[in-house]
Amino acid sequence: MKAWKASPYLAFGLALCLGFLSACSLLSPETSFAPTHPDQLGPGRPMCSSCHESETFAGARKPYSAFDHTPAFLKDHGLAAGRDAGTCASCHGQSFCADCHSGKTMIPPAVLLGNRPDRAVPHPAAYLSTHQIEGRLDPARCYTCHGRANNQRCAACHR
Amino acid sequence: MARKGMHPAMTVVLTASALMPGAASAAEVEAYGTTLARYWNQSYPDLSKNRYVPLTQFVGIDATGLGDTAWSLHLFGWGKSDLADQSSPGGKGEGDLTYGYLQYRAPKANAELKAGRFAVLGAAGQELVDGLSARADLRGGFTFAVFGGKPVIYDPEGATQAAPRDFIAGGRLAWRASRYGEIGVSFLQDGTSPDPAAQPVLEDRSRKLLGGDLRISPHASFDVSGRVIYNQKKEDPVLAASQTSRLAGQDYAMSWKITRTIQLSGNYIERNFKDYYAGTNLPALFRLIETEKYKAHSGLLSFGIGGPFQYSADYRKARREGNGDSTRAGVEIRTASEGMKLKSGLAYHRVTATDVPLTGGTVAFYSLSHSETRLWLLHDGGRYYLSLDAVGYIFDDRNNPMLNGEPKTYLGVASLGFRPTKGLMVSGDVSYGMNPLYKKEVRGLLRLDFRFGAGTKGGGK
Repeated sequence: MKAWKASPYLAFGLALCLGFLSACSLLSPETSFAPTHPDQLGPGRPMCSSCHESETFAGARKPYSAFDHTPAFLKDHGLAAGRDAGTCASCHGQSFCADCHSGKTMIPPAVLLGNRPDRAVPHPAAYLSTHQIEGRLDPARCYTCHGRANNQRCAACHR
Repeated sequence: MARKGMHPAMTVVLTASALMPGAASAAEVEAYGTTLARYWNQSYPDLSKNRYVPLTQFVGIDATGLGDTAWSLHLFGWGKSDLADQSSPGGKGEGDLTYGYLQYRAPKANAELKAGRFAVLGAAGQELVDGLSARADLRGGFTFAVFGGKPVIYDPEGATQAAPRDFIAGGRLAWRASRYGEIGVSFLQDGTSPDPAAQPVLEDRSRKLLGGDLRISPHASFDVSGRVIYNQKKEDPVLAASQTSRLAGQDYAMSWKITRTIQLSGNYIERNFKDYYAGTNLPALFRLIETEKYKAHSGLLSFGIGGPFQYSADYRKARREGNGDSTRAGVEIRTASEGMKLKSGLAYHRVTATDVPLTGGTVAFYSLSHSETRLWLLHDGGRYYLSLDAVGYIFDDRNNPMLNGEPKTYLGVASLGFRPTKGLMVSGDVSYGMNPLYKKEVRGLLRLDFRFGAGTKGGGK
């Protein structure tokens, strides 16, 4: 184990933080992205580009189409959420994310959201009996959620 | 154990809330939650019988505009109580603070501060932290995010005790070229402050990760993203000499919107288990296969996006060194009526994975190949709500020891809900199925969803 004081990465992070606090002149003058969507969104998965055709939004500097909720976006939303969580937050409270991504939960998402088959939740029905099949085919997917948390039930058998 | 790390977060949040002038006078407060009452019986081969009646409550509060400032408070957690036999390993009564933090959002530069328990996402990992975080956009297209504090660690029962970690820090620095792309570097490190008096730990599960990410989008319809993560922790010299790469994982994704309603996307991922699993607190599961690598590429073609009929075809080919090749391919159709009152979906997928080695079994190889079919229907009439969901699996190899001789698995879930008011819904689920573990499985669930207040997040998304 390395002493944290010796870590160049931590020093780098602290330097960035201090820079933020002491040099506000470095901050972008752009207005922040709206904390909530100003208009009520319709039902279903939104296509941002249907209203915001070619605009880019402050901060993220991406076209709105980058956040269209297409099947591909839903499948790979982790990359977008890692870079632009503030954009997600304009429509989604963090509890929306916690439905599937929480440090610890007692109820599988498919049971918690058993009345929402339209939402793509992990662990579809009957997963207890099929997880060993999928786990053998792709154990790295298990690690994302169960590698460091939410694995009390895993430990009951995997000792 | 269940509440490990909870108290520091609560202390930070509650103290900061008390110090916040006018914290009680939030401009907008929203409270929401779900109450779940479940019931099921199980009979075991040793003839013991158990009855489970767990009652679970999820509660969340979002209070924005505290004291007419840009500060907000966000809390979410759950508690469970077993009214009959113990239903989970953590005890008959359990609970957890999923997150709880104070947040400041500045009017300029997307600057943001968080204090309390929060989730962090970055190229070099995702984590739950009790501490502080900050992010902002800088002039010239630069953006940064940093966080630090105490990692929220759950040590599962029965797992080898991981090294205690009392700090975690990380961050990301990126440069964004408006419209065209973005490049970033990130790091994450956790560990323990040195203490000469402390007992040496058997397994060091601390982490030191360095990540890089890239996004190129020359046109709004085309997007390529990539991410690499390296394990930077120094290893035992003997191990280090035998290791040629410290690459933990890499992900690449491509998306091309051919027209407004047609999209083609693809992915490539690679995992080096030894470095990818560094830091797990469940080594009995994840470190058994640490010498392996995993690679996969996939494609997805979608038609009719955003329309009443949406069609998708997907393909994925994976190679895990210890198990060989597997493919998954299938099609899906989703329909939605005007106004989204009636939605449905039908999907079929075929997984092919033959000749998987079986260690310690009666046969040397077995097949994991199977077919998966899913059909669902959802009708939201406003005051009433109905959903049906059925999924079935048919496995090729009846001799697969995981299947207990049963090559079929299916489960159906029916849910009926009633909304007496806009912010309240009572619903009940009944599920029926069979699988290799249970010849017959019947479960019932009662659910109460509530949402009160003035929240406007995307209209309750």
